[in-house]
Amino acid sequence: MRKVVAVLLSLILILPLCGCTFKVNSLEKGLEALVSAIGFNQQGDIFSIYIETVTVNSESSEADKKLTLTEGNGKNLADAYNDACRKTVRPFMFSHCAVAILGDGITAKRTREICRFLYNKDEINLALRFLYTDSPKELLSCETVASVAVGYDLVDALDRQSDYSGTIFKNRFYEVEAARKKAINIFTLPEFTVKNKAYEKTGSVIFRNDEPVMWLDEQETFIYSIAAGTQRNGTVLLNGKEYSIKKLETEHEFSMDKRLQTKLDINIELKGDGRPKSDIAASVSELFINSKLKGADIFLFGEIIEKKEAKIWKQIEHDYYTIYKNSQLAVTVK
Amino acid sequence: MKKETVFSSHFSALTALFILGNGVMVLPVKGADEYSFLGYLISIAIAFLLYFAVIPVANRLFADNKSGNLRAYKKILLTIIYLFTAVLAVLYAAETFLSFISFASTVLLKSYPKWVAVLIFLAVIAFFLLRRQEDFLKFTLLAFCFTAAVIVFFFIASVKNLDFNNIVILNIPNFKELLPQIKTYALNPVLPTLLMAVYGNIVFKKSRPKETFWGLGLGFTLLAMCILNSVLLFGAHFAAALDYPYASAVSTVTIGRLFTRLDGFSYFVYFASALAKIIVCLFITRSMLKKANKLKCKD
Repeated sequence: MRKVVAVLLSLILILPLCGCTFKVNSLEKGLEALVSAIGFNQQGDIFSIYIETVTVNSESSEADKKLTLTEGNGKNLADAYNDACRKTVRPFMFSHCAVAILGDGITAKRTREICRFLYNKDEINLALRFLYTDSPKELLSCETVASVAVGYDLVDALDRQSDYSGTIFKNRFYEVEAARKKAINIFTLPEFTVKNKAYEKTGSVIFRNDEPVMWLDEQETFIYSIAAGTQRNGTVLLNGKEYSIKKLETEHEFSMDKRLQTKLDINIELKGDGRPKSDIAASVSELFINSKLKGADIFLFGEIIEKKEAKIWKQIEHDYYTIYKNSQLAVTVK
Repeated sequence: MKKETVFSSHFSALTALFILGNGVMVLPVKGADEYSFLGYLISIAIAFLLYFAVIPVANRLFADNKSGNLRAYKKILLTIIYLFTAVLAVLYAAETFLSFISFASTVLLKSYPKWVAVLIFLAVIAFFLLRRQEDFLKFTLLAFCFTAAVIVFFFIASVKNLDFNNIVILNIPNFKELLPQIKTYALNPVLPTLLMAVYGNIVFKKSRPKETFWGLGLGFTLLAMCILNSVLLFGAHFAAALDYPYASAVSTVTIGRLFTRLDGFSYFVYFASALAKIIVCLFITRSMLKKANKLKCKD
């Protein structure tokens, strides 16, 4: 009997320390406002925040499911968020937020503010995905397709497309934060476009130093992912034709004379009609030239040089971007 | 003989949990870089070497077979050693206690004032301290099984998202670059682990090399999995910037569409490992003070 009492007492004492807390407020109100997606945009001086919430009656999860989009406006993110909080009765719970959407008005300063805001948010899901769109409000106003919220639909759509095409985006919050902490601050977000209240993934946007610098369509996204090493086996469209990709290896060779010379060898197995490999090589070169104009090392050559060629990196690290703008690339796709 | 056989696996489990200690909550710490995991591996080697070097010393100093015919200077020296060990143990206990209370009050019981978490945890510690060590060892074995299962499960569940390039080192670091990383792990968990040699002598009257070897191996392996889980997912720099890297790593694991935010399971790991370390340290403190007092009385 004493042992039973001792075990029960241990469990009662231990369970609160293991996270089994009682949420009194939620029990009293019976409702929780789960944030499924959050969008940010700036137009002129007005900063806007769009919070998609799913209100679930905790007693009956099927009945009383309500999807709400709350908009908050202000001079900065904090004001906009407070405005949104004032417009809703229930507190926002960010633990299941699936996506954070950046609009076309977002600047580098705002991106940093947004990342800091999300990082400091209690219970934020570090695996939430960052997306880009012209208007987060329009995107979050679309009809849901398969899930209870547009945010979860977007994640499903992205995962399905990644599985099909093999193009992987490193757009989770922790991946974006890890990229931002590096010297070469480059990350890529998938872009969604809205037409007739339906959304579609139409390409990607490359950010440099927290600011969008290059917009790529679907084909360019695929070509970029090949050169950047984020392409897996899948099926892609090239010049209107479908190809299946199997096996992808990229090899880099760097040398420094008067200019930084990069030799990129891409070994790829493509199955389909036509001979697109030369097109891919030409497109990679074109992307490289555009990236030099923007001063963005989109293929992260600097990181690779730092890891593999320490001697070259020591020569160029002090003024890497100037050297990058004058560098040359020779691409071979076999 | 029978008692030693029965509790052999318990001692290994306790050693493993002790190693996890408060390190599992906070490692890797600020300052971690791409050499962090290499530093950890080197510190494991140091831990094994130090521990097995310390065992004969511990057997001589802490075994309960001191005769009453010690010379005065030996008694003074022994008293100093016992008191030093007691202070060291209480400091490690306090550090672990503060780490866990900070975690409990900010994550688990954030709607409640800090003293609630302190009271509950103190009550649990007192409960185990007042019982026999055999009871605590039984609890430890169960806690270890669950802890190991959780850590292994989440490591396997995270594998698809892990980027092994985060620990690939292409340029061999020099000693100056590696030293800060080794130093971090030397302070926690390597040095505190030496206290297990003292604990083994007090409870079992002698050191248990075989059980210790298994305990060290299991503990460092599990801690490595926790560190890798966060470093391979987030990269060393971002992982080190997080307050609780392992819980954050576990929070990204999803099982199908239904099971998300499973970080609650990691909270038990934190609780069990912190409790194990604190109980062992406080038990050592109590025993060392008793021994020091006994020596004084023999005067």
